[in-house]
This record gives sequence, C-alpha cells and structure tokens, in this order.
Amino acid sequence: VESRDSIEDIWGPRTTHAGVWPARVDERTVEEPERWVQSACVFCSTGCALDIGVREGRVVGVRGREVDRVNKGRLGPKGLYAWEGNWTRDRLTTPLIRRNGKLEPATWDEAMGRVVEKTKELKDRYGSGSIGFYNTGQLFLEEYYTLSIIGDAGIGTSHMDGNTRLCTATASLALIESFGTDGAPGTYDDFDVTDAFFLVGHNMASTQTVLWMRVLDRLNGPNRPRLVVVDPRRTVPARHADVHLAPRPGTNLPLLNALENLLIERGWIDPAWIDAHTVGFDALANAVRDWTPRRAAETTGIPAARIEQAAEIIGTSPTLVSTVLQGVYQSLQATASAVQVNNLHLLRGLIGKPGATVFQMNGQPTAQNTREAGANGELVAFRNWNNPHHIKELADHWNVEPDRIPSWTPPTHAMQMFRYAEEGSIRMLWILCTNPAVSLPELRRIRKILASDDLFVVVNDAFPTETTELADVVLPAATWAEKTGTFTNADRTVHLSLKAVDPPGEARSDLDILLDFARRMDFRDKYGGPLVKWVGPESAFEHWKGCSKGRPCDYSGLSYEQLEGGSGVQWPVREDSPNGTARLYTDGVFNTKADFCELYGHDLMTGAALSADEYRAADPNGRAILKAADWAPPPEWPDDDYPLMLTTGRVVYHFHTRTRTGRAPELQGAAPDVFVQLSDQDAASAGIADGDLVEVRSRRGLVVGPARIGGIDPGLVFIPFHYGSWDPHDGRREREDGGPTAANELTITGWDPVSKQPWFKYAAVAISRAGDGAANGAARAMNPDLEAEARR
Amino acid sequence: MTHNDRARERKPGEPPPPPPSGASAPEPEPIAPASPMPKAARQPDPSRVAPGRSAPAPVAPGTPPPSTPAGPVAPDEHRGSTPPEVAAQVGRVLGQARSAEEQLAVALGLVMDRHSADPELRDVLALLGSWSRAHGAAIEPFGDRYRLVPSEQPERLRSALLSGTRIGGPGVLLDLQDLLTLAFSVKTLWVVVSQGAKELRDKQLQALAADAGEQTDRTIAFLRTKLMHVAPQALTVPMDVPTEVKAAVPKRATGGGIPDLTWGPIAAGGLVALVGLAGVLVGRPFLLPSLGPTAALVGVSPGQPEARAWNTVAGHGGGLVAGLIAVILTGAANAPTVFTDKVLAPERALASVIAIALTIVLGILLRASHPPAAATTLLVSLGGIRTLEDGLNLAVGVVLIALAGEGLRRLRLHGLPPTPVEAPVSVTSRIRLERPPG
Repeated sequence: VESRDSIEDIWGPRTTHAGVWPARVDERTVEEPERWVQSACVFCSTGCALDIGVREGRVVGVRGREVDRVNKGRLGPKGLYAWEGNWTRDRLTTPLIRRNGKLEPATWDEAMGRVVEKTKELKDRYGSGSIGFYNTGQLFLEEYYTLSIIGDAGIGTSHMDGNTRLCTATASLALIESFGTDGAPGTYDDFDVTDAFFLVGHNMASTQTVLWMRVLDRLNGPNRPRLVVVDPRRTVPARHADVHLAPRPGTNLPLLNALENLLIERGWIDPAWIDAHTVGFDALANAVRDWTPRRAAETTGIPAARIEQAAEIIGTSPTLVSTVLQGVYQSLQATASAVQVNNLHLLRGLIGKPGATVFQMNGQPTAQNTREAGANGELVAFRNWNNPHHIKELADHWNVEPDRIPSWTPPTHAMQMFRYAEEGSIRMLWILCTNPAVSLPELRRIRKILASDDLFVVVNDAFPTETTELADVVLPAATWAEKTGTFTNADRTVHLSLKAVDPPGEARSDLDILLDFARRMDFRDKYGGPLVKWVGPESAFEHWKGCSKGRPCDYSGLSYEQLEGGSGVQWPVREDSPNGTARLYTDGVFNTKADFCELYGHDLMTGAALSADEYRAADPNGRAILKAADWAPPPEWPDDDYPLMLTTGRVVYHFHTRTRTGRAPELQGAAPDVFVQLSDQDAASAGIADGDLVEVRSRRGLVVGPARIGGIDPGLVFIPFHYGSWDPHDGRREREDGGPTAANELTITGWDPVSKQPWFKYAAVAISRAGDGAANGAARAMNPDLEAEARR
Repeated sequence: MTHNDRARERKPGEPPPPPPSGASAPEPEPIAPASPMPKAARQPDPSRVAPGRSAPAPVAPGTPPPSTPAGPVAPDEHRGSTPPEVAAQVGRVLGQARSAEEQLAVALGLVMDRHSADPELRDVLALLGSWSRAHGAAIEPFGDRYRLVPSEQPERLRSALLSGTRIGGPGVLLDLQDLLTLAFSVKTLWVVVSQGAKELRDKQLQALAADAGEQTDRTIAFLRTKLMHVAPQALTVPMDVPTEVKAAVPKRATGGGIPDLTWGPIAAGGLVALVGLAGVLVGRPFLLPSLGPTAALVGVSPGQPEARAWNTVAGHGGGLVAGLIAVILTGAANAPTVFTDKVLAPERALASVIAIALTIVLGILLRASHPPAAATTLLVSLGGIRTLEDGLNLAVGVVLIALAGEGLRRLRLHGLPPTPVEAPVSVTSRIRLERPPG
C-alpha cells in the first residue's frame, strides 16, 4: 500500500484550512502488516509520529499517526522510504577488533574487554582528560542520559559532545543568549494561525518536508500568510516567497541588523513591551543604527528596496513565525545572527502568543535530547556549569561528590576534541552513531587524526561507514525499531518509540552497550552503590524525570504509559500540567534569572564568557536579553586563485552521510550522486555544460562531480554534503569517474566563537572542467527537489 | 563581468572583493555596485570605536569622509587651552597607551602566528589585534592637544614576555598568561587616561578612554575564557611531545612561529657569519669581540629595544667615542695594552672606568642603550682598538650587523604582514543590562 509516490510528489496533496490543520494519513507498506508498533520518524527534527508495520518479525512499512499533534498522519519521503535501508546485508552484526591492521570479528566479551582495559589504562596513566566521547543527534533520551552520567561522574571527563555541534549548537546558544535557557518558545500550531513566515537560511521544503506541507497548506488556503525567505539559492521556499533575500555568504548579520534598524526607525516596535520584558534595547539600537538599507545592500548584495519590503512584512504583520536553520548556523557569526532573529521578535513583543514565535530549528530527530541530557557540551537538564548550586543539585541526584563532575570548564566542544586528538592529548575517542569522516570540515585532516596510531577509536554504529573503517573497535548497534526509548522534536514534543523487531545478529542497543560498559568499569556512587542505577529504557526515563524536575525541560509529570497510544506531549510536563505546555514565556517572563539561567552568556563577537559576577551585577531577572553584534568581515575572501564561494547543504532524499538513506533503494535512486550547482555565467566562463564533470578545489582539497547549472547567483557554488566515499552498489569504491565526492574535503577548519559550530557554508573555491568532462550519468537526477517540483 | 575579471581588476594592496553581487542575475531593482567592498571591510574606522559616541577621527590616508562628522579635536570649552606642562603629562600617558596598544597588537599577532593551527586563536586574536590597532590610531589626533611622547616601556614589557619554545597546550597556556599581562597593562593605562580626561573635562578623550577601555575588557574576557578552557587539559594530561610538535607546526612558516631553540642559534650564528665572511673576503678584521653580544641579543631577545638597529649603531658609536675620550683624558694611549702586553696598566684601568660611565650616559641621552657597546668601549680603553683604522673596521662590522639584525628582528617580530581583519565599526555585543527607555 502506498498513499502516494513521495519521490515524485514530495509534499502530497494540499489540505487547506481556516485555523485547524486537518489530518492526512500517509502510508507505505510493502506487505500487509500483522501488527503496528508506535514510534516516530528519525529523519529530521520535525518529529512526525508514525506506526511501524511488522510482519513475521520484519518491518514491512510505516504509517503516519493521525492522532499526533505534530504531523496528523503525514510523512515525508525519507520517513516513508528510509526504513528499508535499515536491514541491508551489510548491517554490522558482530563486534570487530582491529588486529594487525585489519578489523576482525570478535565476541562482545573480547570487544568490551578491550575497551574497558584501554579506558582504565589511559585513565590511570594520563587522567580522565585523555578520554573523549563524540556522540550524535540520533540516540534516544535514555541513552544520552546514561552517556552523560558515565562521562561526567563515571570517567569524569569534560570531553563530551555530539555531532549536534555541527548542526544545532547555535540553536541552543541563540536561545540561551536571548531567553536564558534552551527550549523552543513556540509550538508548531503557531504555523496554522500566523500572518507571516520568516525563513532564515532554512530550506524547509528539503529538510523538513512535513513542516513545509504545513506552510504550503497555509500559502494555498484562506488568509494566505506572507512569506519572507533568506537563502543564497533559489530554493523551493524562495520560489514561493513574497520577498526572497539572497545575501552573499557571510553577510547574514548585516542583513538582520538592517532589518532591526528599519523596525526601530519606522516605529514598528512595541516600546511598552520592550520596556517591561527586555534589557539591552539602547545598546542594540546603537549597534544597528548605521546599518541603513543602503549600506546593507552594499554588503549583502541585496537591493535596498527589497530589504525594506522584507522589513515592512516583518515589522507590520500582526503575528510572525520565524524559523532559523543551517544557512545561519553553519555560516559566519552564527550565534550573533541567530540572536538577531530573536531580537526581531522581542522588538515587536511577538513571542509566547498564538502565531508569534521564533524557532531556532534543530536538524536531527533527537538533537533536543542530547542537549537536555547534557551529552553535547551542556550540563544535564539545562543546568549551568558555572553555578555551584546547579552542580550540587546534580551531584545529589547522582549520589556523587560535586567535585566529581568536571564543572570548572564548559564541556569540550567537538572541534576542540579533534584538536586535542591531533595534539595527542586525547588518546581515546568513543564515537557513537555518527560519521565524522564525512561530516566534519577539512576531511583530509580528520582522516589523519582518526587513523593515527596514537588515538584509540571506538565506534558504535549499525552500518560500516567511512568512520568505522578507521576504528580500533567497532560495536554493532541496534537502530530505530529495534529498541525502545523516547525522543523530543524541535517544538519540545516528546515521543515514545517502541521496539518492533529484534536487532540482527549480535547487535545491541547503545543503551545496553553503555550499561554493560558501566558495569564492567564498576562505576560507584559515593555510598558504594552502582553509579548507574537503571537497567533499561523505562527505568532510565524514570531516573531522568527526577533529574529534570524543576528545570525548563521538566519531564517529571510524564510517563511511558502516558506517551503510549495518543499524541506526543510537549515539555515541560509537571504533575500540575500533565498534558504538557504548548508555549513558553506566555507571560513575558523569561528564564534569565541568574539562579536559573543555563549560562551567563557570551560576547557574541569573541565568544568570551561572562562571569557569574558580571551577570549577577545586572541580573535580567526574567527579562529577555537583546544582544547586539557588529559585522566581522569573513576570514577568506575569493581571490584570483579561488574566485568562487562554496556553500554546502542538503537534498530532500538524503539524511546526513546517507548511512541509511543511501541504503534505501528509492531514495538512493532519486539522488544517486553528488552534483555541483553553478550559475550560468560561471559555468560559461569555465566552459562547463550541464552534466559535465567539474573539479572543485579549495586550499584544503578537491571534489569531483557533475555540473548542475542554474538556480544560484554568480560567484556561488553549491555541493550537497551527503556523499562520502561509500557507495551502496559496490561497497567501498573508487568512483568510476575518479575523484572524491564529499563536500567537506573543501571546507574550512573554523567555527563560530560562541556556539563553536563549524563553517560549512563558507569556503573559497575554484572550478574547472574535469578530464574529458563527460559525466557518464546524464540521466542522474540532480538538484532533485527542484526537479520534483518542476515535474508536478 | 565575471568574477574572474573582477578579481583581476583589483589593484595591488586593495582588499579582495566580496563575493559577487549577483548583478547579472535578473534582478529588477538596481544594486548599489559602486563600491565592491563594503565600508566596514574597506577601512577601519576608529572614530566609531563604539557607536553613538564621538571619538576623534583617524588620520588614515585614503579614509573616506567618515559617516558622522567627527572633525578635528576641538579645544575644550571648559578651559581655554591646556597648559604646556599638563599637555606634556597627559601626552606622556597617551603616548604610553598608544605604544602599549601597538605592542599588544604585535603580541596578539605573534601568538596568533605561533598557534595558527588552532582556529579559535587564529580568528579571534586577529579581531582583537585589529581593535588594538584601531585604539592606537585613534590616539593620534590628540597630538594636536597633548604632546604625545612615545614610550619604550610597553615594548620592554612585551619583550620580557612571550619568549621561549611554546608549542601545544602548555605553550598556548603560557602565551595566554602573557597576553593577559599585556592586556591588563593596557587597561590600566586607559583607566589613568580616563581619570585625567574627566578632570580636564575633555569629553572626546573621555569617550575614547571609555570605549577603548571597554573593548580592552572584552579582550581580557576572551583571554580569560580561553585560559580557563585550556588550563585543565594543558596542566593535567601529560603531553606526547612528538605529536604536539607535529600538531603545532604552523600552516605557514613564519618568523614568529619558530621556537627560540631553533631561531636563536641560527639568527646569531648567521649574523656573525655575515660579518666574518665580509671581513675574510675584504681582508679586514670587521669581526671584533664586542659584536658577539650584539649578535646574541638580536638572536635571542629581538623584542628588546636594545636590539634595535639604532641602539646597535648609536650604542657602539657612543662606546667608541667614550673610549677615545677616556684614553685621551687619562693619557693611557701609550700605556701597555691588555691584549698584546698581557699587563693591566693603572691608566688603562682608570680609562675603562671613565669609558663605561660615559658609554652609559651617552646611551641614555641618545635613547640608544645597548649593553654590547660596553664591550666596545673597553676594547678602546684597554688598547684593543688603537688606530682610526681599527675604529673604522669595527664601525663597518657594527653597521653590517645592525642592518642584517634589524631585518631578522622584523622577520621575527612581525613575521606576518598585519592581518587583514579590520575592526568592526561598532562593538556592543557585550550585553549592557541597563533598563530600556521608558
């Protein structure tokens, strides 16, 4: 059964409405299921609830959950197809240990024994600081929480981060800088009633297809809201926009400063609300004063008149929903820019009200949980590592002495961990469920670090990847549908995902692997009892509830039982609000109180952390913080050698490094290969025709791929980042036409000073026609989302 | 025009253009193409060290008219004119602040250079360096009102710091400690300037001191933050020396990035080799003992003002003259010499006392203190240099070593051309938790 061919028809039929989004159930099964098991989709942060169809112990399909508030039955192409990639023949089913340079099968006892022996040896000889954990946005809440206690109180290392550093670290920091703690202020229901959308660096049609359906249903229905899109490419949302702003790479901040300036200058602000609910207005007004539309136009390349049009929509629309994603987070001055979008809402008082909110969007399905559980460089349950009371509270909950938790420095971010590994001071890196050998910038350097004999690399994964190739121990992990747990989407909705089938071979859930590790390491609390007091997902969840109590991400009123059967529930869920909380800050009181806030904030231009004393001296005490920043010109300009700018991104059919979507035949078939998107002018001057093979070079590496011409401004080059060296057809490969395909061969090692998120959307490159130039796949679908829309 | 064309059209020295404006895309509205370079990137504008305050305009060649008329520094209404003594006193502190900001910028560049494999240091230190340079430039126009006196003190402070072989985490830690020392000294000067400006009711100077002081606070805050992050790892995890050394290799070979252990012997040896080779080729003894200390000083402590070319030339010159005067005064010219006769005559001992005292006086008066010159003057007083020809030989050697040494010194201290990152026009991202108007 297939409700639609979602490769061809990505977003499905319209269901317009006058305020309440109707249901539409999307389904795809390859056989008739015997039973349905409740879960949610793991291919973006939207968090669509779905049921898994099971027959004879196999997954045979999925169906959207009509009862769920997030998607009301809908699913996108990745949700409908990607599950098929989970059970391919090359699944990892047994642990592997590197012996004499080769990965060889081993028993769990041998593999875990090796990991434990190495951990103890390093801890004794070099201290906890020689061990690091690099995790993901794909595990479940219970797994992150277990990882956190093992890292913080078990080993006592501050080196703990997730690959969420690469996608949504800025979301978290931007929320903290403005509102005091992490957590989206609004709800997806705001989409159904808002008067205007402002999409900043967010190709929602590709990355969050079901949310885009929700927008399309408004754009095609009554009371059409207006749409402003900031994107350097003419993406699908850009084509639907009333105003499309295409800034030069690295110039988000001047654009946003100009919009704020126009709002202030034309009086499109709410002075009474600003007065009652914010601090920092004068400094902000001063900082943006010089960013006139004309000056912003010179810097961004966007016509001044168009900036004014956008400002008028943003400034006068009665309500507004803004969403921010990688176009901001992975570009320069990421946090500074993301915070300016918050400021636009604060200036107008458009937050915490129906149809008025800002989404600092997430990328991965469980990114929110790695942040909540403290596995990504924040302290557990949005606690402040710089606040001794918060540390004490956590230590009490864990039954450990406070000084066991490394709180004297913030957790080490991923890029710094790799730097420490490069310097030889981190000697063991445990990588869980992520593929840094394709997803980190400047891959040549990353491969060298991971391949070094001095670094002991442990990898948990379900599939062989470019990273497992470089590991010393590989632990086969169970994946979605093979384990139970909860996860939380970008509007704070918690979903339960139940185990539907057994993992293949000897694969185990990451939770079981971590619990086994804790048992073998014999971690103890201060009374001599076991440090990790839970044995499975539900008992982990129960322990987490206590840990989160009283914090913004309060799960204390929630239970597996409540999550089973109905819709997902939005945290905070306290005993007195068992049905969750749709909107935060409805009373205009924010989480900025010095005793409560998650961090004391940063200098947005240097990343300098404010001290507790500085913050307390002028405690915002519940007011939101308007923070300003000026433009810092980019570190690398195009020049004679590298005259073009590279930006990287995603296509609708793939997720991350294609570990799963590349194994799903329909998705891989729809977008089988990397492509290089160029403007007509740049292609013509380099003598490149559509489909020709192009070599793209930067100071750091080379990528080869077929050209796709159009849809982009001159001077810009776009390459999707999904394509590593792994190929689904013949395993590891040399591309038939030669040359590497991973966009990150070209990117820069550099990051935002505040969120430490690397720059994936900024690198100077040069292009030339490769070899004889003919790509032998003229029929390859390229830039598939635009093509799919064109076909409709 | 394609992007390639645009890049080629660029004049040397002009910063590269930003990405193309998309002018060729089918855009109905006109795009402002007149200036390919956004204003902020084209020219630092220290008059806008912080927005909304009037700081003096910079005297930078080619600066476009500032967006807000800052104008020349006008005399203060409160007081008709500043008395010359006060102008000199304030000018001394301002001159010291200017030198201190310059030295901080140099130090930031040096550390950035050393640890360029660490992107955070690379990027943020470049930004902070641009702030310091902007502060230094913003002091310049106050020369109209106060007599700016350059100060050597900041240079001495800087050269006492930041030396040695500094690689890996422990090296970063040491460098951050030293940068903090410099930044605190800059901050102190701005406090002094600010207090004086208030007493003088000099609003413009008050504004500059407030802005520059606040920005220095932000520099300190960054250094402190980074220090807190790196200290635990650098102190407690034993480092793997070969790996650290490999990882610390800068991406570009620069004078500043090479450890002392390598640079010092090569630089000093090279200087002696140069003078020695010239002497051998010409057949004259240019190489004399007092050039040894000079070569060592330039090689090991290039940051010391004593190592400058002026100090070298004027210092040794002073030594020669002082020695000559001493020999004449004591009548020691015909006394036996230490070098050939192996005896120490009383006249020569007395001449040596006078010579060294005179050398030091001359060094201070000429602002050319150079300890190796003390060796030169003793060479004269003890009879090692007796004829005009001897003196000329030494002079040639001194000039050679001073010129070559200055080149090495600059390479070492300013290995990188000034970073192209420019100061942003305003700097207010630090939260100001004041109540909004209302």
